[in-house]
Amino acid sequence: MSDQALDRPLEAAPTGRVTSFRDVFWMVLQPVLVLGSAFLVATMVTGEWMNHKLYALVMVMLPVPLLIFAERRWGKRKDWQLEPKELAEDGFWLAFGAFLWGPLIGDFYRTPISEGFRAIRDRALLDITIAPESVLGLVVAAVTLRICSSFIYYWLHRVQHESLFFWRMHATHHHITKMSCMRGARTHPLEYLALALSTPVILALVGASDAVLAVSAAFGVWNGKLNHSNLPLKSLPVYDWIFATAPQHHVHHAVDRKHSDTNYGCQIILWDRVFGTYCGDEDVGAIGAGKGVPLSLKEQLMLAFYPNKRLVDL
Amino acid sequence: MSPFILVPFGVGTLAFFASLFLTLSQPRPAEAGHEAPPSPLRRWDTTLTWLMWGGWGSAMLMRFLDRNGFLSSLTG
Repeated sequence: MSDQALDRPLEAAPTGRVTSFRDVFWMVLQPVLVLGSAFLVATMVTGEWMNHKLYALVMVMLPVPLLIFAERRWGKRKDWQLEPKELAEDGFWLAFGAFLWGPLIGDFYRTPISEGFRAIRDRALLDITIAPESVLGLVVAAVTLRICSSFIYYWLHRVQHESLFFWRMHATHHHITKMSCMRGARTHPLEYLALALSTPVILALVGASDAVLAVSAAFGVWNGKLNHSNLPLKSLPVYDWIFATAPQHHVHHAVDRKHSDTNYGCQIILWDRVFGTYCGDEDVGAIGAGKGVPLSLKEQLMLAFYPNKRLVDL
Repeated sequence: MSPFILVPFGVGTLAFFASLFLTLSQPRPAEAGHEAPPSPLRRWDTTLTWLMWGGWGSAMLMRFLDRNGFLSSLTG
């Protein structure tokens, strides 16, 4: 690989046109890493050599430096390369999400909301528990869980784009003006509260073992980072019928509403194809929301509480 | 989770909303014009911003220490 990818114009190759080994490489990389991490964690679980430190290494410590290096070396667009200050800001969002907002909201869902869900599940007619013990079984269960929870996520996400009231909690994530691997974590605390709802709801209806959740998280962490990354990844046909890919998610972050109001699935694209919001364009143009200008860190946190006029004028 | 974490978290959150109130009570730079004098509340806003980051940052650090069992050994 050379810096050629950085130097090429913004126009991408036509969708699905494979011209070289390079295209094939960037096409299979995302499925290999995403499904590979799921299989790796499933193997770790079934082989009983799973521990939380190794899991944190594979899921949190490894992808970030690896992808930041790859973005520097093989970035899709030069104008998306991050300045040191922007990298530090991304680190802030990642750290606050992982160590403050995420755990606080996780604790909130465990008590008392999870108790309510458990009560619903105890009264359900069907007693379903997903707890496979084989590697393949764990991966299939995790993907099934993802597809089910993504149905709720899809509609929550779509409502956020179509209603100004709900947009205010999602706007922070869309006010990024460059794509980069850590930017999936640029999420307002209120949005964590709303979007984190989809998985508990599905778990309330269908019980899943901790092993299935660990595999599902592996899938989600790698896919989330790759979908926001500034890498020349391409969509692999057939795989991209179900799973969301980076080019699809870059379209969702376009400043142009015609593009950003499509591809709501961040992990699973299937529901966009079913409900007619899928967009296969690859020429994204500018990234962002509103006027497409970067906002200060404090403003990104405050905008959720702005009056309507001030919010839409950003 | 240690309840002590909620103290700096609460301070940070209160400072955030106070700073938000100050921000909304002042006209936006575009509305005020380029020659508008700096607001006397600006210094308060800076202080509140420091309190906000300090409070939330401390809460994050305390939660990290708590999760790794260091907080209980420090507080006895």
